[in-house]
Amino acid sequence: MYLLYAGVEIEKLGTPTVMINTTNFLELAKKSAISVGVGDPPLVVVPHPISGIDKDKVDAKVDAVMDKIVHVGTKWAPTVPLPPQPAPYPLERVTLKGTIKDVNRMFLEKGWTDGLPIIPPTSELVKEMLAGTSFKPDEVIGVIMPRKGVATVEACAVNAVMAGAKPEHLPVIIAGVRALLKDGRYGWAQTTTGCSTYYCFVQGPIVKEIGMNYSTGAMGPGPGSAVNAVIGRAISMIMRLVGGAYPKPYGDSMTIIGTPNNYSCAFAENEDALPRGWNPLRVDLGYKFEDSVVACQIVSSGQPTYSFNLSAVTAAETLIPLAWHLSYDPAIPGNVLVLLCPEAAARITADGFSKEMARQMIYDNAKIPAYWVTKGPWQAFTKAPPAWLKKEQLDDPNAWIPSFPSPKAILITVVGGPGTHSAFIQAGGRPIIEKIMGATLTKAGR
Amino acid sequence: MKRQLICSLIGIAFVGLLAGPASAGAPQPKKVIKKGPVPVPEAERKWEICNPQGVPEPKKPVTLAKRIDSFEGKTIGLWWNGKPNGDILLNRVAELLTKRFKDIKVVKFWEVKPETKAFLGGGGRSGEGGPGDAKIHEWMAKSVDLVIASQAD
Repeated sequence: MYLLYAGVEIEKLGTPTVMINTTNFLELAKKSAISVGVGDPPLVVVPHPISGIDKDKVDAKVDAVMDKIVHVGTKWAPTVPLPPQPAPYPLERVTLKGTIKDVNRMFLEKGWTDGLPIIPPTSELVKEMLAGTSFKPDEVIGVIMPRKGVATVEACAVNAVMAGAKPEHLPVIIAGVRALLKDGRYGWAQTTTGCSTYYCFVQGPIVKEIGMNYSTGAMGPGPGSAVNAVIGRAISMIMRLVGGAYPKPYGDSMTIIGTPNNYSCAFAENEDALPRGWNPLRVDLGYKFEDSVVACQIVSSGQPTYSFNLSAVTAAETLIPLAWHLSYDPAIPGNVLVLLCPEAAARITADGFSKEMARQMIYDNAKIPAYWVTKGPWQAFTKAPPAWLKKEQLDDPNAWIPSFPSPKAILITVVGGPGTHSAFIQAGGRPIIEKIMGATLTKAGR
Repeated sequence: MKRQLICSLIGIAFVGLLAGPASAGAPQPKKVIKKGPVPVPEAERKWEICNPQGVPEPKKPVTLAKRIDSFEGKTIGLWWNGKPNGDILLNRVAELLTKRFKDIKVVKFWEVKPETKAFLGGGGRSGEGGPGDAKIHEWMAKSVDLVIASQAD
């Protein structure tokens, strides 16, 4: 997808291109081309796959298409025009006579759901939903890849209705979408063969006002987590329906296995359980106490990972096993959000630990053998070590190297209810934070 | 007769055990099955529903560059996005092109600027130097007559 976008940019500069794609990525390439104004891109298709096979097989696939490569480079000319392009607002209205089951059947057939039943987004319900925000319905929140679908406020409201959200949830949903679109890697996450996903971490006064669950079972499921569930589902549906990122034939996600997190993943900080002297995460990240925000982060697989610990009494007994557990992310190491349970946070502070001291202890103990990087799957992709490691650190296969560039890569918050287990979410990049704005039905997030 | 009586007594004792201590000897109330309202099939109605997908961002048609007249004497850039075996694929392309066309020059971009093989969207973490970087597009467009790119996977 990105190579195709870049190829079109090179074409615009006057230099022709030939783009070699595998059969499995052909549809994605064609749709990506349309999204940047090319109806018929200069493609040469080889049978999937190219990776994971030996050199002779790769060579044979090239030999079979060499004449085609030469043709597309010299004599080829585009023949398929760009399809007609309707305006993003107002959205198309579809009429149907039938029952709610018939509506759901139609939505499934058209690929307009995440696979679960939906609330039909009638014009009346969408209008009610739009009352939750002061943003105008034709305002564009962003353009979502790979389809480059236009996410207007109206489109966000439609998906929010479908997900079961209420009007007062819409500002949180819009902020979540804005945050994800600010992360340059979300488009990759929406189409990758990996199990990429994201979470939406809501913080601030709006959490209590709209009734999000931040205590027992904060990540659900259950009736107590209904608000979390519908907010996460709405954000996921906007990103994937408008962005065209469900697997074929409904979209262009190439995820091999997928992850259930992609149905819905929104949760909230347990501010009530923050130990004395510990700031809410948004304050650590430069926002004000009174701000309500959504923090989103692209993560490499279904997370959080629960970190079992029944025997810890001290800060060290809490933090060191956690550090061992979170030390290795086989895909893209770099950052981690630690979700301490309230009891773990209390144990740590009882030993006089600040958040900074806790981060440092995790950093000091989160180490992996060098050969996990030089021989592991991460190395197979990039053929380069993480930027924070020096070459000599990797030359000794038995050396232990830090899992994170610095203690700052470790963020700590408190989530959940009584009990002794904590959790963590590993990610390649820092969380992107968006302030919740435009709320009309809550005091917070206005 | 005696055998029948013994079997009956065993049977009664077994039933008693199954019934449990709470019900032993106690009269059982008769189960009353209430008849609920007959379910009414959901009425059909007319729905006016919004299309939740929206539309792709309207774009002006892009005119693609003019193709090269021949590979002979031209400089061809090969762009590997860093995915496994993409380099093997493009190395084979280079081998076949140089065999087939006179005075052809092949530039493997990843050997000149290793950052061009960043497969992540926007190019690595920062977005600079990778496939999303406009400076890289310009450099490639200016340094060769034709770019052959491999998506691999």
